[in-house]
Amino acid sequence: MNLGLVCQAEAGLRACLQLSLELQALGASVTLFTAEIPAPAMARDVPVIPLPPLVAASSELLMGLDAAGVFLEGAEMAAFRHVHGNAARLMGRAPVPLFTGPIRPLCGDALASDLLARLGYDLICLQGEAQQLELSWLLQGSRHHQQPHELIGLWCLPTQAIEVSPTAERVVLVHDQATIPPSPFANGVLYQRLRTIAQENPHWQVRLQPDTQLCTSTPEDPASWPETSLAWHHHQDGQPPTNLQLGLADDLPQALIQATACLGIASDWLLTAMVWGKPTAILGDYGIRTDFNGPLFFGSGAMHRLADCLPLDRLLELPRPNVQWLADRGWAIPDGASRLLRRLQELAR
Amino acid sequence: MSLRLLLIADSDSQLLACQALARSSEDHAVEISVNAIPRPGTPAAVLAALREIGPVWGLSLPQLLRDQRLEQFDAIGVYLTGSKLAEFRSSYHSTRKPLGGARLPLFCGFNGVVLERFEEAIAWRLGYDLICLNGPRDQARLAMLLRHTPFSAQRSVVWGAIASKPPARPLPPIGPGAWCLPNRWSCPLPQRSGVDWCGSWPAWPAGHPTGSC
Repeated sequence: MNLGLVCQAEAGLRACLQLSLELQALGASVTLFTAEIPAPAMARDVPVIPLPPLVAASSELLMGLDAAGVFLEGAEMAAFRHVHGNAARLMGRAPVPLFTGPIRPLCGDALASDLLARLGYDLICLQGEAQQLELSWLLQGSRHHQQPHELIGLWCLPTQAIEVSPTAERVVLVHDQATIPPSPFANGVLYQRLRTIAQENPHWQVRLQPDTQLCTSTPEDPASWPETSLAWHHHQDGQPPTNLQLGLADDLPQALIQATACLGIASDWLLTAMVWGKPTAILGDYGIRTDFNGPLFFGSGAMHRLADCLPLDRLLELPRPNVQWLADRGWAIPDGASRLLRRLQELAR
Repeated sequence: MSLRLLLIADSDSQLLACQALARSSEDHAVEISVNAIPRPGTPAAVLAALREIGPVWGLSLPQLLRDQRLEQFDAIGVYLTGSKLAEFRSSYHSTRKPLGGARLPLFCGFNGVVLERFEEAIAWRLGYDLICLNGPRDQARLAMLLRHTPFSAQRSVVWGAIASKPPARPLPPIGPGAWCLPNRWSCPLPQRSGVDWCGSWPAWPAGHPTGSC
């Protein structure tokens, strides 16, 4: 099949690249349509057409595809579908089947809000049974109750098997989310705790790992980093302990592969850490906060207070996450790309 | 034999929910007392309306937990905001330990339709003997949230959007009601199925009113 994937922000681009590789492995031809050409290191195996989404929606290039995945967010979702439908009508052609889906592992209010913008597309790709149940209740009694959808697993995150070569050095990866917690003070308190932990656990490397670019325009300039990031506080620290290091966002997948254990509040990448078998602690110190995407991790069995993870050697004794919970998030579906291709072939007929 | 309930609330919206619950139970053998935790700005009219229904106390939580009269009740309904709900449950259980652990069933609910942050709200309520929910959708969301977790046996009951009902105007009977709702306030709920409706209360006193359940 000849497919296009339309995306814009960093999260959408990462997810689409992930999906592209899986679809290509099954023989599909995939082209990315995105406003800015991604860094060569990110998109080296996927052809990219630099078009803003709404321009792509009316482009002849899109019309020649068998189907297009639209992985935008909010109001742009409906706008894309309308523009594409209008352009196809003017060209006297049938619209290309459009598919979409949440580009992050969402649940609860965040999922409902995300899904509402995607209703009306030819196919909505969901990750796991938990999202399917939520969609079903969301649409019950509405005119969209027959919205076609398919479960395609945790497609937006790397979850394929990895090879890990054990190293003598113990590294705990602390996922640094640019705006969580949302106050500079709370981030400062967390930074100070991590600083103390690094000092008290000299045989561990504590790596603060941004899970997205801290600033899209000038990511290398610390002055542009948000004060609500641990990285900002690390930069302000005149003499951080030598074993308290700061990673780069681009290095996240590799850093995660090499990590001994992972800590975080609500980063999506904590799911990858769990799937990869890393001892993972969701910091329960902040409770289940909707604005932190906390409901996603409810039931994971991985929520612990930071104090209960100390000394850091305790991380190695953490119980495994709740496997059934992980399965419901989408981990139970290993053939998501095949399922998607099958549904797209039906739509393209 | 009537069922004796103590309802605990602080803010005016929570007190109004208690008022709605009390009024909806008027046709049943239920005696309701309310403890309105003192709080600046609580409208006198709300307290006055509650006094028409039953005794109204004004104890702080520490005072209430020490009060011997708690033992007179069959169950305690707690209508507080998130963290205070969890704090009350924890404190109440702690104060009962020296007494051999015997304790009254605790229940809680919502003071209106839950439009957002449902999961967050439920997280504070887990561990109560009974969580009262507005409708089947909330019950399904609860089941989804708790499945495969140690809380999957959490008891719940659908009692309709009771706190959102206007207090004065009677409505015609529509379908089966929840345990505490007289028929005139019944909500258009489906026939009972799925998770608990009313048979889930632990150690419910013999002869309690079961309403239409």
